[in-house]
Amino acid sequence: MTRASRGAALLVLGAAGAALLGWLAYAFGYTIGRTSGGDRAMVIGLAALALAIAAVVLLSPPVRDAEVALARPLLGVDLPPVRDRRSWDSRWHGAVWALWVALVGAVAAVVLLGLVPLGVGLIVSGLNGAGVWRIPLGLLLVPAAFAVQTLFGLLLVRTTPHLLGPTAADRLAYAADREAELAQANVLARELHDSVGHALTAVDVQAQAALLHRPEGPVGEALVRIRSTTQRALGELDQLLGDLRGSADNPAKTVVSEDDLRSLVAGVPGRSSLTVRGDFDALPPQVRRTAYRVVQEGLTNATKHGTGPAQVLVEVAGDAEITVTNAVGEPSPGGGRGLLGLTERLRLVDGSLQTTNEEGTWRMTARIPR
Amino acid sequence: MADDRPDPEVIRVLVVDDDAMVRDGFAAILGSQEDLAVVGTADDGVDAIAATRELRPDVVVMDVRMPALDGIEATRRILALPEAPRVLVVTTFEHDSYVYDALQAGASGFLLKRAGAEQLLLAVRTLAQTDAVLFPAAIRELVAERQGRQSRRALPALTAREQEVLRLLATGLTNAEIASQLFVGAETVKSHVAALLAKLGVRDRTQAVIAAYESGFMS
Repeated sequence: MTRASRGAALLVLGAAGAALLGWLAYAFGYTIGRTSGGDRAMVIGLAALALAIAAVVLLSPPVRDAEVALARPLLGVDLPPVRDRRSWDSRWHGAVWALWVALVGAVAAVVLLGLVPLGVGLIVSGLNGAGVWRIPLGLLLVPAAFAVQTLFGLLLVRTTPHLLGPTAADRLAYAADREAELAQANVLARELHDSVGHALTAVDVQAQAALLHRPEGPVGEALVRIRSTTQRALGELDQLLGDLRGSADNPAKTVVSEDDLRSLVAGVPGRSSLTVRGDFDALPPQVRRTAYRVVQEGLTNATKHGTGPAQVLVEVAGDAEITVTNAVGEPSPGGGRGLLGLTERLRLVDGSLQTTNEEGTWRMTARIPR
Repeated sequence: MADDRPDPEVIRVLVVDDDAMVRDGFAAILGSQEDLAVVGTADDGVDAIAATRELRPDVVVMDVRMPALDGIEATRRILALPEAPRVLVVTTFEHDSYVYDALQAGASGFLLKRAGAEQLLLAVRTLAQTDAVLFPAAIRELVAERQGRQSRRALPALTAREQEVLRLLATGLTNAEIASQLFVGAETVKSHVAALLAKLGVRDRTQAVIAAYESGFMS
């Protein structure tokens, strides 16, 4: 739909509605003027009945809903779905919008139907010698009558969001919807967490049992690695459950310390290093937890894409700033889901994440406000 | 293993878990030790109660979340049996809210399933052989985690001696160890502990430790 034509169809509709209403008003007025006594009273009664029916229809709950469905394509405005149909706030807005469209449509129609014949009349009379000045004026009036229609259309586009936009009850309903979605996501996360957690535990217990036989060489080493991997994964799942519950009813639990960061870095193959400046353990628990995820993700990326050991620098000065650097060979494509997830996580705490890849050095810098 | 007159030196263990891999794994770990005997296994709470009645284990290694009857209710009913065994609750997750309920139901301690074979063996032996509270540090964390949700509970007036006993008991000492710390007889400690439990209105040492942490007496 072009910008100029936005609202044209609605103006026509409004004008048609207004014409119908105007015709009815005229018919009733005419009849009332021509009758007297009992007949007149009956016609007045009928007029009142028609008015009442119109009011009931306009104020009925589905009206605003239907209007939103109509306004969206005809005006090209973005209106959120109607959740609140029954409140009087919603019903009044629906009725007022209908009358407003009829009014604007009627005025637009009068302008169009009045100015075009007037312009044509001026041109014709000008050509017939009533004054040459009439010709350019007439030539101006005819296109102007059409151009003004665009302004009326714009008026509807501008005013409709105020009249048909969400009511207070709508906004409450959206919030409730959002909450329900989150709760649903929470339930799914928990179920996934439980099933994966139990499976990993079963694997871990089996490895424990096998290790009791003190297997030598690669078998023993493999079992130890299985155990350390399942334990780390279960630890993370534990943290996730803590976070999930934490968002529901529990202040977050302190879990991460500088020592945890050290063992995380030490657990990575190669000689990665950790430097901590400032008092990491004095940071709020959630900042430390996020910092842990940053270091973890940074190291994961470094091992996946890098060639040498990674350097992790954690600076605590008010906020926490974490920099992970390491050498990379070829620039590898894509940031990966891990970094995307991390960016999301940092966004949640108003932090930020930047990665650069310059002269063979990959650098990830995260800032976490306290 | 179905000996009519079991060797009194051997600790009889019942393993309860609905996951066969975990159940068999624990049974394998416990069964590998000379001084332990896995007298049976059960895959839900109802089975666990029946098996406890029949097999008379010294220690029940109990999963918390199970179909039919969960570990909390099973623990409660098992501990109501005459000559009840001690119950060690094992759990998949550190943040399992049911663990606290299981301890309140009378379990003597809890252990993460991934803690490792050594920890499991240590826990079972400690429960069977001593009266010490298991893993007091874990109980402290559990209480701290819940602290935000409930008001602090008040501790009744305790004598200085009872306070001392509670403090030592909460660090995981046995009666005998407490006795040697306080230079008194084991019987004296025993009566102090009994008085302590009665005053606190709790049924066992684990619950006394929970009360000590929840009241802020220990922190």
